[in-house]
Amino acid sequence: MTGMTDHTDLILDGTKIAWHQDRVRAWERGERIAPITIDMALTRACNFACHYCYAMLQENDRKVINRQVIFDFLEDCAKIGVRGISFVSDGESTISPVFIDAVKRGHELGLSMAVGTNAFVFTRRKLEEILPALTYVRVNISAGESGRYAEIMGVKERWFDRVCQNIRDMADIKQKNNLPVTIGMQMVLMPQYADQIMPLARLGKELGADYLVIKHCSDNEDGDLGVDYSGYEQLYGTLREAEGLSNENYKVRVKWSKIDAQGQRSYQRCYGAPFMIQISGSGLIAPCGMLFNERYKKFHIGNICDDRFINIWNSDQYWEVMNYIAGPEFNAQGMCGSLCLQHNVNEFLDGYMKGRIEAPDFAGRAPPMHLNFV
Amino acid sequence: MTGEQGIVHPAFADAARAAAKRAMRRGSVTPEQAELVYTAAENGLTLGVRVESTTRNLVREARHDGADDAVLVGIVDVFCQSIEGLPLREAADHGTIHALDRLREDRPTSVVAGILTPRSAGSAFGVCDRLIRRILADHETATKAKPTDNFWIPALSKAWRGQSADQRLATLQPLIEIFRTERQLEAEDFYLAEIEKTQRIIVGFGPRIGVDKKPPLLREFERQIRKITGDRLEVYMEEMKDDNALRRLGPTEPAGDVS
Repeated sequence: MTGMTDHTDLILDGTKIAWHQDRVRAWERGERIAPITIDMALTRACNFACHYCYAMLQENDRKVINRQVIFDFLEDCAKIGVRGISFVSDGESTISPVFIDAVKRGHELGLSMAVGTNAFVFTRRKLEEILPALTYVRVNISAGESGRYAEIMGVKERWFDRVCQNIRDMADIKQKNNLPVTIGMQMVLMPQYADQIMPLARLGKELGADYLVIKHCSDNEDGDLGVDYSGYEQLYGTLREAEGLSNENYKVRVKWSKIDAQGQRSYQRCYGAPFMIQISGSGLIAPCGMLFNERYKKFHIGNICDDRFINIWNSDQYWEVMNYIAGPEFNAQGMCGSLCLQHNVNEFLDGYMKGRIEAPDFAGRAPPMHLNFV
Repeated sequence: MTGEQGIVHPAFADAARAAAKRAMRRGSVTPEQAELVYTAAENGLTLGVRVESTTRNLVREARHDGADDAVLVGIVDVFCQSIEGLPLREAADHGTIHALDRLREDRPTSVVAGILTPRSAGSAFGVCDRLIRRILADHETATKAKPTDNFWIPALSKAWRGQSADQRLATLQPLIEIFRTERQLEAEDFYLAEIEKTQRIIVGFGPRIGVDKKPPLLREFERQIRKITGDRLEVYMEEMKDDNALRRLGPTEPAGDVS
């Protein structure tokens, strides 16, 4: 069995929020809903220096997420009805000393666990320990050749070989143990990395990954990372060629919905955050990672290093911030960076609230893969 | 999925009845030359709007007729007041959100446990939504306009735009002094730092202000200066620079295996 052959879809460009109609209805009624997915990091630190890294813009007061903090947090998540935790966000979670224990504990508690990583510090032994507890592991790799990898990701060339070996090991462990985990690779595409699209698409197939997803690069509201959104259009031919490498066992997918949007938002209210919050590697809870920096203090809700998550989630502060971004005082078109994590969820909910989108009837249909990661 | 409550959430019932008593938008719209008039009706309630026939499509006048329930009269009347002066698309997209904001003025923000939206505020808002969206659809058919995304934001006033950064800071200085006095804060506790890009007000806090106190103070100050100036100003703190040297391991955190 591979992750791609169980007759359900792997949605890499879109949202699964419509599959969670019970929670959408509760939200409409004005009830306090638990997030379906929490995207977080276990540390703000990173051992890479990627040129496009948004974490450079997300600095806030650092605190350390230790074993007790993360265990308490995971227990609270399970208790209130959170369904999936992805260790992605603004730091490299695999270099946290609590990473492996956190993945295993979350899995034991019935939470779907996932990780986005540069995959450098893994060893075969560590992979054998964590892969059974993960829904997916997604390797951030924005080049398919060692020289360009070193330039784009700010590391030594030889690190490329180690990361490639780790991906091979993941695929091998998955196959030998018949694990349901999905092994993904992700390219954050800046227009100037166009030469790496095809080499990376071929590399993913060779390494035995289940998929390669190619996504836009986010930028803040002032464009500090200098992403040229107009530059993506000339790459459409190459991106389609890369998608053509897909077969039954390996998919290359481009996040067209976000690349096509060219950094624009069709909506002004942010309804998605209560369904999908983000937590910094400092422990800070905010509706969105783009609001982690101290500059955006008015959106900051609390810190899991200072208080239990269940208390923070139940606090007026949590719901006042969520109401602020869903209300008329806020405008995501001018007050947010481009193409955030909640973008597709926001588009769906905004269309739904405006009566332009109806809730689909999924009766009799198998849910998509990774349902708990909306 | 339908999540509508009763006709209006109990927290707004009194405000809606009070609005009904001083209802100012009952009746029919008055046709004007070169402007477009649309009506839509549901269960005896008619909403009428007059729209200017320029590319701005501003709602010039909104009226309602036929509501027999005092609460519904109040809600629809506030809705009509709220959409006058807005582009028709904004009225259709967010008119009920604006109406809700008017109704809840000076009331606690959390009238529902979770997120307050027109749907969780009561079915009266849903009626307004359906009527104005039907009118927008009629307008698009009549003018052959294609549906577009809504990028409307209220413009900053001429007075604010005409000021230099120093003049804007001087305008805000007495407002922050009042704000501090009301909360028994000292000058060094909460202060204006600078103004960025016309509408972004950068403020700072002194060491006496705890980290948990800052977010609500920032939101309250933003709300207060918006209310007094009438301009959609945004309050932020100074940006914190990345503490990772080239996004490498920070000095204070335990390192994992990076060999």
